[in-house]
Amino acid sequence: MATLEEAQELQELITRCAGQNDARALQEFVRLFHPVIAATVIKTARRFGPAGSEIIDDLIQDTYLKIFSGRGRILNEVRVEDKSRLYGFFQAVAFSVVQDHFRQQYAQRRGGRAPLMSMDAVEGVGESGRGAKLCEQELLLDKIDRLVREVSPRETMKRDRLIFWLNHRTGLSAREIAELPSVGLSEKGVESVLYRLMSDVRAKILRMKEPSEKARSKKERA
Amino acid sequence: MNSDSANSEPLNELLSLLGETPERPKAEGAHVPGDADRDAETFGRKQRECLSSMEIGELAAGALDDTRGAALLEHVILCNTCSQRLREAKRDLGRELSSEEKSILDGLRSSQAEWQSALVARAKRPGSRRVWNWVGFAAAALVLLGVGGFWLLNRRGPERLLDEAYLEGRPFEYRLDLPGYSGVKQERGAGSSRAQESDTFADAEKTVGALRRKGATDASSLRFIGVMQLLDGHADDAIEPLTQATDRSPNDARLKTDLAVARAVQAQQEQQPSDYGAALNLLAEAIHSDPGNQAAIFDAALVCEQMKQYDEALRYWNQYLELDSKSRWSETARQHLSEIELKKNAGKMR
Repeated sequence: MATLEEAQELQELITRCAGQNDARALQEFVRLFHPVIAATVIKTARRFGPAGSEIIDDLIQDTYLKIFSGRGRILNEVRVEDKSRLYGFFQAVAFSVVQDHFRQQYAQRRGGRAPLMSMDAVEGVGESGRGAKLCEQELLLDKIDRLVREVSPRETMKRDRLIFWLNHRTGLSAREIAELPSVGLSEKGVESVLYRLMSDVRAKILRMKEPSEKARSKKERA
Repeated sequence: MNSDSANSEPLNELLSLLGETPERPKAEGAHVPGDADRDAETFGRKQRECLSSMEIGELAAGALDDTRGAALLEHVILCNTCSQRLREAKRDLGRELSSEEKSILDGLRSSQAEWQSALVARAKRPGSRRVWNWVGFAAAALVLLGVGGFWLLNRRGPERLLDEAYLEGRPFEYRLDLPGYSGVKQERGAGSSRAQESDTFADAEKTVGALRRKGATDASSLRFIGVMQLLDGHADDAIEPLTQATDRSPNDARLKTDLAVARAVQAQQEQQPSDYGAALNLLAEAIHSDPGNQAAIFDAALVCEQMKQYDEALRYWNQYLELDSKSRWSETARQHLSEIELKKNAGKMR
């Protein structure tokens, strides 16, 4: 969290940059945010293979132009209440510029202007019976989802459910989940929720199995 | 399920346990999904479109407020694609730069003061409403009235609007003879306008309207009208003003390239292969009068591919790369070149 003075200074800088006529403010903005924007571009581009410094420079330039374009609309909407959120926002702009650039290239390589298709949409195509298996799995996931809702206290149900699936389906660690907005727990807190949910859901499933097992053994005895 | 999901084992255990379990009535006191849940997304039924790159980035970088973040995460947990994208984004944005990446960062031109000053000069607008006081405004108004020109009344001149609109993305694969790199922007629905989502296009739309009301007939105004129509996804409306502009200024290679792009885009949209021939003729004329016109050569290669003239396309791509081997346009050129060569080697084409 920025101190009040820092926040005010940053807000003033952003407001001056939004006017787009203050060269000194724009220069200061670039000096201040260049390390985070450049690092984000480099790290994001790396996922798509080695990229030359020319391309990296172009993408960094595109990021600044996106931030400054449209009469500073993006900058006018920025409110500096939290310094790390502000840096996160400019990281997000750089991330999206790089992702969109390489995704467009990828789409072009695979059929010109064909829109990118969601991977979910193509799942189940190909192997025979795979679609049915996926449907079956989706039903099971829905059942687990219902159980997660049932074992969670009503007041934290939404948050607990997010934590459960972000860990088990999205594959984020407890630390990564704790860093996300709306979670509002420490890493330890997330671990504790995960442990509790897992135990409660497992116990609930086992309790659900009991009557059917009893009935089966009764049938066998008979 | 994601194969590299960090915690798939415990979930698999639950899934296998659950797979053997019969349906059972809900226990008393358990949470009963209400009306709000009935419309909610489930694992087999997503209601919201996948997240944009910006939304994924904002989530991963912790830039969103709790309410908006939670709404987006509700979708992420149900969507394999967005789950994977968020996981990758978290890993990418959350890690430190490697020593190799640090040396790339240090060697970037954009890390140098000269580059940054040039960027600022480019980003800086020539005038700002905010800093004008009444005296300045009155003085400027006098100048405007004195000149009486339409262009000066507009905050950004047509040329600058055109450059900015182009940088916001092009709705086709072809390249226009305008500065900078323009990414391909996905097409929107028929009849829609980018003016709804972009200030630049909104300003350009007003300028096009003013020029039409004024009955502008000079080549540069006609070019502005035509290219803006083209960038807004209306190739059919672009052809007439661009044809008139070419008639007014028959030796201008830029205008021929613009018109060729309009014809090629229309050929694709209307499935009229004969338009490709017309486009290629215009491009050949443009290259003849300006042999270094990169846009014309780039487009000629693409049109040849559309016409299945692969040898010619190869020739144009090689010619292009001799002129430009470093820009982002050259990446596209290399991709096309290698794809054609691959196909040729595989014997799929003559």
